[in-house]
Amino acid sequence: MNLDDILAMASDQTLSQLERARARRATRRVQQEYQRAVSAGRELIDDIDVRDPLAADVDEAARISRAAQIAKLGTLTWVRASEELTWSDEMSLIFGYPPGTTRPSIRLLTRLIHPDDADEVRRTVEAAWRERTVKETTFRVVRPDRVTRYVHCHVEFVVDGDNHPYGIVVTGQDITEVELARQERVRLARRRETVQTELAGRDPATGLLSRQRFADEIDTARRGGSGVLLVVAVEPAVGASTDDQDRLASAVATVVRRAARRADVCGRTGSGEFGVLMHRTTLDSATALARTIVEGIRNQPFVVGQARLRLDAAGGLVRYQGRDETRGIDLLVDAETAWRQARDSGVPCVALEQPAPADERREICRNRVRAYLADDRLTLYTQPILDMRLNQITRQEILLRLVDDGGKAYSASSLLGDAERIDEVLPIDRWVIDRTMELIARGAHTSHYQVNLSSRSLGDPHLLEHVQGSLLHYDVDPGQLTFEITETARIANLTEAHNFAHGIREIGCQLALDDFGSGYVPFAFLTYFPVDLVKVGGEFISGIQDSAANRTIVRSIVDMCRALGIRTAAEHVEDQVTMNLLRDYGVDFAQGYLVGKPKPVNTPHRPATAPAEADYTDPERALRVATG
Amino acid sequence: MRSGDNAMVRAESAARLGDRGQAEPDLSFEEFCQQNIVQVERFLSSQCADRGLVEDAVQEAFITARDKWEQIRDFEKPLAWMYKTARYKLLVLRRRYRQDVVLGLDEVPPERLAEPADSAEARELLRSWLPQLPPRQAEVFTMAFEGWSDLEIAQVLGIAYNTVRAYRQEARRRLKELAQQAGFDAPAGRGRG
Repeated sequence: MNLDDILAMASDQTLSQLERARARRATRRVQQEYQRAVSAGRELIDDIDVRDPLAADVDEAARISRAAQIAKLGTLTWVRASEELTWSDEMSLIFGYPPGTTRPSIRLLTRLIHPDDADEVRRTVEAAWRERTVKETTFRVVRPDRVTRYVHCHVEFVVDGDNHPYGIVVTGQDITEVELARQERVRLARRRETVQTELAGRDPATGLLSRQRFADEIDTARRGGSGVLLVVAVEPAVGASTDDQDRLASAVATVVRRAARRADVCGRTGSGEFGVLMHRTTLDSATALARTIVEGIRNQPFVVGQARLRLDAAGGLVRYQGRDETRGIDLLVDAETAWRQARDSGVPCVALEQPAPADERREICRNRVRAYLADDRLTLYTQPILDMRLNQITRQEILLRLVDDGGKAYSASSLLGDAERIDEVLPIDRWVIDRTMELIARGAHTSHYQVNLSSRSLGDPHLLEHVQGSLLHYDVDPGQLTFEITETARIANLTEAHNFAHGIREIGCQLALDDFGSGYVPFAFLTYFPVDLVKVGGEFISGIQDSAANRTIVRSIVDMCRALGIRTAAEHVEDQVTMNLLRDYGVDFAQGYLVGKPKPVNTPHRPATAPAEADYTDPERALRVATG
Repeated sequence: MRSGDNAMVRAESAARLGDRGQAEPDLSFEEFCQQNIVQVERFLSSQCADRGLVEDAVQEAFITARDKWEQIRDFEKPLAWMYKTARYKLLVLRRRYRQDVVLGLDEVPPERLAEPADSAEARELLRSWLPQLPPRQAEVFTMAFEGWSDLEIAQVLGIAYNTVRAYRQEARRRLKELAQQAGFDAPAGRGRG
């Protein structure tokens, strides 16, 4: 069956039994209403035209104009023979002139139509004339008082009595309100496509909340009463690749989630750390649950690659109460201190009745940070960066890693987070600067290195001196160095940071902003900080193929930076499609697993260890998670 | 689009429509109303999906016709005047309810429908498609389908003769699309198999 069959079927217009009954009822109602109207003395005709529409007495143009006038539409008539243009009073009002106050002319009309719409209107009218048919168009009219209105028009080709081309009749109306409503519908539809319903901040490997989001959840819970926070740490950090680590983390997350109660919130609080937020629970029952989880992990054989392995686990618990002033991030630190105690004393769990006093927590953190430096348990990794112009690796980013007792390296994110919070990060930054200089001094003089600096250190008046001293000591060309800064909102002293930024460029180094777009960097920062390179936040790059929103944002950042004389880099580039997309946008540098994974640097300090890659996530991302 | 199609359909339709458009001599208003009121409703339904609004507009148009019946009954086709007046009444009502401009119809997802079994179901199907057309095109199509000539349609709707021809073709093309989206795309005269 097709349209013709349906039309043939429908062409039988005979009224059905039901319709005939309805016609009788409707007729009765018409008669009644008529009588009522007559007795009420109501005027029934008012503006109704009582002439027979089929009694053709006037030419087509006049007929259309009259119908339009009754329908309160504006008309505009152009007669070919006389080249004469006229418009109705209604159309005059649409154009913003009281009727009779202007002489219609093509010139005036051209001036009234918005410049951006003029071509389209002209094309439409010409097409209607040429094709002898009807067209429609919506355009903007800019009235003499500069007020802009949207007008919708039908453009009709009319003939004279002998069926010869006569002219054009345009009927139109002001549809501004309708057009604005339509534009709003379009905007809302686009917004629905580009906005995510869920806040970002889940760990991609496990699907659990990231450290920052998890800390937010603790804060939310804390305001609503008491409960217990559990952090379970899994050791050893093993596996040859990050992929293996992610698979392992995902398996552990499954064990944790299965043991946790349904209402408990779970998070991945560090590379080998999992948090469980047990709201409205006693410390005893939380401890029992923690033991179950620790035992579960210990008893569960995990398979990574070819190897079956057993993991050790330790749990730290801390009870929180609604009236506590301890922040979620501090409770996390306490729970982490507790699992370390458990591990060191060989018990499954340590539970704290209450959060540690603030100064005690500070002291513990400080000692921990200092211990890493004193014991020389820091090491550097480098990750290659591709110059898109040359399609060649010309740069390396220097990444900080921690070394555990077994000599394995893992992410420094939680240590850096702690260090930043207690203002102990400057010694770490100095260590990184010195080791980097040493590395550059030994390496190729053509390569370029990007070093991360904590925004806390940036406000330190002695940082610049230290960099200068180190450059001299190792005899390094400053042009080989770019300092990456991030989280500018955390800069303690903006004046000092500003001095550092200008000073560092004066001596020949360059400055980069990391994680642009996802961290807290106001646009204005780009105008008063002499930034050379902007690194687009990895969260915009991962999954860019599937996100129109991310594509738009990345393209805009790149365009803006180019106009400002700033180069751009993209992190988390993991496949060729993404790489091609970024190349099209004009991104200058690409970094990510497609270009190369982080590799250990053989420092003279620890030549033997050469630790295997063992961090769970990209260290920079993890750092953000930890410190954001 | 074969140009003969419409001519044929219109001729057939006109034959069925008979002289309904024309008033019999001395036809009483009562009879005229009973014979035509559903027809006028169908006409307005082609451009307006709001049934209540359509019924109100039609009732007002017929009340006016009742008032001027002495004059209107002598027209060659009083139904033409009814159509013109009813659509004007609908316009006034729509303005009153601020529905006066219908533009950029939201896309209705195509729905696979059952085959119509009789003329009423076939008309119902058409009635569901027509409001998805621009209103002027829907009106032109409906009148052409009922057997009105292009000139008559132009005069009733207050548009150009060439416009009627263009809309008639465009409406048919669009209806064919809608029919295909709903699964009615088999060659003529066969089931959907």
